[in-house]
Amino acid sequence: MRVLMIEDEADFIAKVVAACGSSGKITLATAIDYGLYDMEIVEGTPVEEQLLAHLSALLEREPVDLVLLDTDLSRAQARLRTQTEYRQAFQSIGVPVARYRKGQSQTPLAKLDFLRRLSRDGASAIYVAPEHRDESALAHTLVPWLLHVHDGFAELTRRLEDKAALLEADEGPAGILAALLGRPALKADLLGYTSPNFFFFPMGEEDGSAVKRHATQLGYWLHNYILAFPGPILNEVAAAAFLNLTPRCFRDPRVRQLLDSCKYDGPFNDLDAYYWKNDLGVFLDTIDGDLANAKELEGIDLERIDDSPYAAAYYCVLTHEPIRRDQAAVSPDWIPSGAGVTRIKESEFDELGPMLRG
Amino acid sequence: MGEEIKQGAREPESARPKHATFSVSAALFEELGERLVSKPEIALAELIKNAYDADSPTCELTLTDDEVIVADRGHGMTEQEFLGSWMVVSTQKKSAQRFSRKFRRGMAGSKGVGRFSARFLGSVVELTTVAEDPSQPGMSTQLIATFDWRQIAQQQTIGEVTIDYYLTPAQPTDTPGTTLRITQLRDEAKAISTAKVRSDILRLTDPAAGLEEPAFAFKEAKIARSSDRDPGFSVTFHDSAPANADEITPNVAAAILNAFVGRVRIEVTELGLLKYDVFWNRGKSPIATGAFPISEVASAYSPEELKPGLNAEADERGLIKSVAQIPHLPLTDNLHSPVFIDIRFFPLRAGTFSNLGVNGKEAQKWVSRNASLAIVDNSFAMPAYADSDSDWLGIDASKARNKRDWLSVYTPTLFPMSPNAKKDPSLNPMLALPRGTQLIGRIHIATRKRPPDSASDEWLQPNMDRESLRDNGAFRLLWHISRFAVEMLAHFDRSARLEEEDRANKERDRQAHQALASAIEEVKSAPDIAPPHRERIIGHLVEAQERVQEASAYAESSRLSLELMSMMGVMAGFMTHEFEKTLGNLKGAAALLQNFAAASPALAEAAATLNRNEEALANYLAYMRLFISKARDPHPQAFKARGQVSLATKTLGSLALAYGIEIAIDIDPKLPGPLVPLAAYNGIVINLVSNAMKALVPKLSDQPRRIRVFATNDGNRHILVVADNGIGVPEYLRKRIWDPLFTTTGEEDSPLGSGLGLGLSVVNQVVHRLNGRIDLVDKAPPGFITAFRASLPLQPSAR
Repeated sequence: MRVLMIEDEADFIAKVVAACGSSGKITLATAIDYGLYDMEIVEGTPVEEQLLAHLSALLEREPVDLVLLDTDLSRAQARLRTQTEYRQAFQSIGVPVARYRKGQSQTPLAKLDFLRRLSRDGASAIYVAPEHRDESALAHTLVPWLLHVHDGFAELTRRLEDKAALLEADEGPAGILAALLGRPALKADLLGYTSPNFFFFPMGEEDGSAVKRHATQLGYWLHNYILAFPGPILNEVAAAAFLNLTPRCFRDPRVRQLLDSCKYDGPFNDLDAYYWKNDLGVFLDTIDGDLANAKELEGIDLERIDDSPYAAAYYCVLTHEPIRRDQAAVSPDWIPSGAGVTRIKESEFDELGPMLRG
Repeated sequence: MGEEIKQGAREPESARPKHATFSVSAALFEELGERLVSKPEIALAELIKNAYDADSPTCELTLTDDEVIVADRGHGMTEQEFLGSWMVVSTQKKSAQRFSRKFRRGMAGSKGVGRFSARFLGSVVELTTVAEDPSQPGMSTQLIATFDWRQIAQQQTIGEVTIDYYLTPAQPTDTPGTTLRITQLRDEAKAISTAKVRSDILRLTDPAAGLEEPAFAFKEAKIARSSDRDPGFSVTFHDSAPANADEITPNVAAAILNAFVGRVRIEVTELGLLKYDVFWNRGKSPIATGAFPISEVASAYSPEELKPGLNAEADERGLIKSVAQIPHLPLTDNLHSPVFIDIRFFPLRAGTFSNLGVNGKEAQKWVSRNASLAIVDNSFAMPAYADSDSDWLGIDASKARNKRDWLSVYTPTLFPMSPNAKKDPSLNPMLALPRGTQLIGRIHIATRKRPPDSASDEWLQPNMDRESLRDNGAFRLLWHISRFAVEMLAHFDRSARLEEEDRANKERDRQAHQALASAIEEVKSAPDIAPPHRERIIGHLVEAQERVQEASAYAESSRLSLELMSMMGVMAGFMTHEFEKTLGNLKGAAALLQNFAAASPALAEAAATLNRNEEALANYLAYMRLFISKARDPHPQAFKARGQVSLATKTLGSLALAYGIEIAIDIDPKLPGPLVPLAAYNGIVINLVSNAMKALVPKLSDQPRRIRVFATNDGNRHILVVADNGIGVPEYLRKRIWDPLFTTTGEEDSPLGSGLGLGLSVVNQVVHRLNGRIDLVDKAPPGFITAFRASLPLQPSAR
């Protein structure tokens, strides 16, 4: 896998180069290697057009699978373009971008701000979470994460190549992604994630790189919206909440084994353990709506989130913990309406929400 | 249209157009003379302008009950000039000729109709003019013509009017010049008070009167031959009318005018560059100067810019609503005239006329009598703006209404008023606007006839009656420039008075200190005070002395410190950016240390400390970043009080933890906060809580350190109480805690640092601005020593 890293701090570049080199799976090229510092801007043509042409030519000679982009390129003293310009250019080309912000620990305020930004700007890059760029252990955090992300995009591309006819059909992004995930019925659920972002899917423009471009767009959508704000696909904590179990209880090997058939196996499944909400629901129906009725779990003291066994709890996207219904705040408008299991804890949101309200 | 032409082409020959011409009734002269001019002094001024334009050094007026004589020693008129100019109504010659032929004076009588003003004064005018005969050098002619306007008016048309004139060689004793003798005086002319006309004429014709004269009036003179240097122009009265008893000699007038407290001098070049100088307290060097193109501000007030959008609201002038409070709009961005302004300010204050050799009261009276901000066009004052009661700049109107906003469009750009200054009458410079009776100044312009091919109608132009200027965009622009001059006086006067107050305060401090020192010495050496009493009295006096010293040192440093701190606002932006990177480095360093922790356990501890500190700082940074973004857009916002108090106290949580301070929040989670900007509420909480923390740190460590934040809603008000069991506020400091920069904890005394010392002062200001109040509670709740209670309206409109 070949990654282009656009970063202006030599120290950090050296660390990432070392981490990628030790993995033996990633070849990392830098902005200097690709001559990005030497790009000359001429007057008369928009900068964006010049950058797109320049990058397209470079990537044609030496393709990359993923771009790793720093959010703050101010130390390059204007010899590099801005991260926004790079993101836009790579979006047009169809190369996935993973962007990161170096800096301090993530505070609750910063986390909430990050989520809000993600819901607004998540259609042009994947964000590298702070835990995936722990500088002391990049080989164990960033490198596997990059590989999994790349696998996710590659898988989507493969599936789309196999079903390229989908692009011709009048399915829209929700229909296409549902088909690629092998669950056409999911289209209705995915529509709940399109309303704020549908304009990012210019499905009508077809050319040679259409599959690549659309796979990248769909990858951003799947990763940044559908998986980040649990609804039809649930991460482990969200799945626990849906089943009204504490995460500790959910991680009991017997519980996991019981629910193994509900696991999600689509693109990005290596990033976390994901479950199909619909499959969990179907399974619950077979045991009268409560895991406690499952024979396989007899003798296990199931810890609940809500005392009422049939109640469903929610996943707090800010604290990553399950919360009861009465602990949940009314969701802000930037949480996709399809994210049915996602909420924010009211006590946290009362503190942080007003600060972020525009 | 094309169709009409075709039809016209088919018309029979008999339908060819005929030609009509205007015929002008001789009664027009009556109109011009009687209606064009409204007052005798204006009629006379128009005749005097002709003398000025003829390069005469003087114009001599004789005013009797039977006749008015206007005589000059100018170049006179040859027969050709008499026939070609004098006898032609509204000749274009004067518009083409901008400067007089010999001394290059700016032509004052620009429309060529001034001579008919004589008609206003009397029915018969005898013209006698002596001029050099250009065809016979050294020879002169004398031309005499008599105009009987009553007979002239009886003619059907002007063309039928015939004037007899006599042309003879002039006698050697006859000097060149023109004399108009007006007889058969009209009632208006007879009724005039000679003394009044005399002073009015002087006002209109001697407009500079001790003020600086504009360079452009003499611009052309510089290129004239040295032998033709302009000797100046004066009007004299050849009669026995007594001089006004109030008149003073020109020298004294000049001395008074130079005793100004404030003076503004403005030049606007024909290219539109405005240069200003401000002089203060009789100074000859300016205390402030500046220059800018007038169009830079004016272009934002053009008719196009002020045109409301399709469905936008308009003011009564049809301009956008946001400029409804600004008079005299819209503006053009070019005056087509140079401008020169010299305005002097004489406030009614002790010492204004000291050391002048003139009785101060008399000088003040003279200023009041001569107070005027006349517009002077080509060296002649325009009557509409020359009267002392002509408030054409709206200065007295502003004073009467206690206006607090600048009205000139230039002043807010050059001398913006801070919201604080606007609100506080002791700081608001508009409330220091001089009164009209305290200002003597002239606004010189040099209008010229607008060329017929000029695309724009927006030129400075006198009205037909010569009394005022046409009300167009150029006049309005002149209004804003002139008003700017007066508002500058207000701005600098306010600053000067504040500085003066500051000096006086310092002097009072010095005197108080000196008096106390003397008292101490006196008591020390007083033999009849018993030693124990003496020690006690001296003890009190020394303490008082220390307080005085403390107060004056504080006052001295506070202003400078405030200014310095305000300048540091720019650092906030840099800090958030750089700080973030530094925190990243800290984290990296902690991780490195952790790698070596196995070899040295001390490193593990250092790494943990670094991580803890980094997290605390990251919290501050995240909080500050959002706080700043909220503070930039301070609009009222709904929120729950507990959430915000909790956020603010959590931000300070690591410090509280480090100093063993327990912060309890006693607020219902659902309690709505007041509808105020979020940054304001957070700022109030952060400041009150950090203040309480500072009061707790000096406490002995074996005692509990507690802060309790309580909030409730009572009727229409939100009540927030922050109580602590810290060291308390000494009785004698209870009032001073609201002073800016006052702090009881020095940097070394308090491990929390002394902060900026602005906390309570700013909190007080913010709370007041939100229509709330804040108090140091007389009796803190049980278990606490100090409590601050802020009360804010739940809705912005509530008080």
